[in-house]
Amino acid sequence: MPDFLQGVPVTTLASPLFIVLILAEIILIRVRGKGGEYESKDAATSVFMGVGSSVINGITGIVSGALLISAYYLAPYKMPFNWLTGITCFVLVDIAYYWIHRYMHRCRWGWASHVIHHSSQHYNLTTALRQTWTGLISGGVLFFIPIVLLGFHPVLIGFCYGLNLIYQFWFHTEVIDKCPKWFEAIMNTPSHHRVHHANNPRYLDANYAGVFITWDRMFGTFIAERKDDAPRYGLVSDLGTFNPLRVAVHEYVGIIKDASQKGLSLKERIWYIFAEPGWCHDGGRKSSGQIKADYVALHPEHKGEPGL
Amino acid sequence: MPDLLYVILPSLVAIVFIAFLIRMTGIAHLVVLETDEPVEKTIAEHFEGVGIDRIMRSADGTGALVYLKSTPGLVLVRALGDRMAVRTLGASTIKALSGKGASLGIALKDFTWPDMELCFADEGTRQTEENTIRKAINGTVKEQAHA
Repeated sequence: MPDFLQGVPVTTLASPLFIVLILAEIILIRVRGKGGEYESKDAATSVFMGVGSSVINGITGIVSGALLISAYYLAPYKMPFNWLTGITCFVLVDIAYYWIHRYMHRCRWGWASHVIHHSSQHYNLTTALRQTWTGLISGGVLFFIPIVLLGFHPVLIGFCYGLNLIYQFWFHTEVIDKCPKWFEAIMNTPSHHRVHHANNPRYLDANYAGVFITWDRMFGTFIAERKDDAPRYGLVSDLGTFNPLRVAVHEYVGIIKDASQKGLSLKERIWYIFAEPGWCHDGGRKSSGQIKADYVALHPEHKGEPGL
Repeated sequence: MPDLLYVILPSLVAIVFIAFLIRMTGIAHLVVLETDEPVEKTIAEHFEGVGIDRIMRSADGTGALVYLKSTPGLVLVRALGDRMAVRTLGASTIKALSGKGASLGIALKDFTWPDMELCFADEGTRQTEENTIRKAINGTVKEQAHA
């Protein structure tokens, strides 16, 4: 195994770059007077969530690593370390990321972990750092097992995943409008990811990609940003607090409250944990599908457009 | 442990510096509800097509009660930095109401929504609003001693 794959995680090594780019974005917004917004408490919460995520996931990552190493022993063939396997592994990790990400938006248990990343009403580089503290229990690591069983070493997978996350940092910005067409066609960009973070009905559950937007185009979840429907960021029901602890665990608290209500059947309790976010046994809340349907009912002229 | 300190200490310094820079550059415009306009804009975004009956802003500009002309009926808005957050009010969402003097405390059954205190112009106004809320939610909310 090459030496550079061992030691400090690449995302931690990139932290100084993240901070420099955040400072540059703040100054650029100030100078241009447009291209994004910052608020000190929101930004501080986001960066604090990022620090907490590094520390907690650094510790719990030992368990994830042990799981993947165990699976690696079962792999019938072990891939060598070279450029070709490295690039192949990077692409496979990006496909896995797409499905992890889609799972985290479509299943409430995953959403409880991932919702943290969407909990800011802002979209700037600090939002990229607003990451989960509960990655281990989300179950996302299971999506990497097929790659391990193909013979890719878990350390290589971890390295590629780190690079994937570093790539995802830069496009959490409104400073950049559109990239060149060829780039927008293949790669995930600020425009594509703004759609992903938007809570406008047409943009819900779209653009799950990490690095290559190709997966969304292939699997039917791609929606392009529109000038006539500017993204509004945040959750369908925005948080009323900046408290990091509440931000980190609020959806789990919601799951416990919902699933422990009196008079529910076992199926309904399980559904509150694993059904899509917004599912409710009495129709008191709305899923993304229902939100889209309500929007179309109010705006029938938009029916059939992408995302509606 | 030293590795963790290498992550945490510079990060904390960075957080403070970023927050300081945002304040210094003045790029954030904190919401203070001095007029109805930001409330109306927020309601239009969250409840498209639903008309506003009336808005009762808190005297300190931190929140507002909004009476809508149709469902969901009663809404609570709070300023959150340079943004707003919204919750509908009903028997199933309100944990407690507590009125004292000109201020009305509202506690929701919501982990992400800290207890809120709306300060009205005078005690009479607060009493009127409190009664209206209780009536709107069928008086099912319990009384709570004012903290």
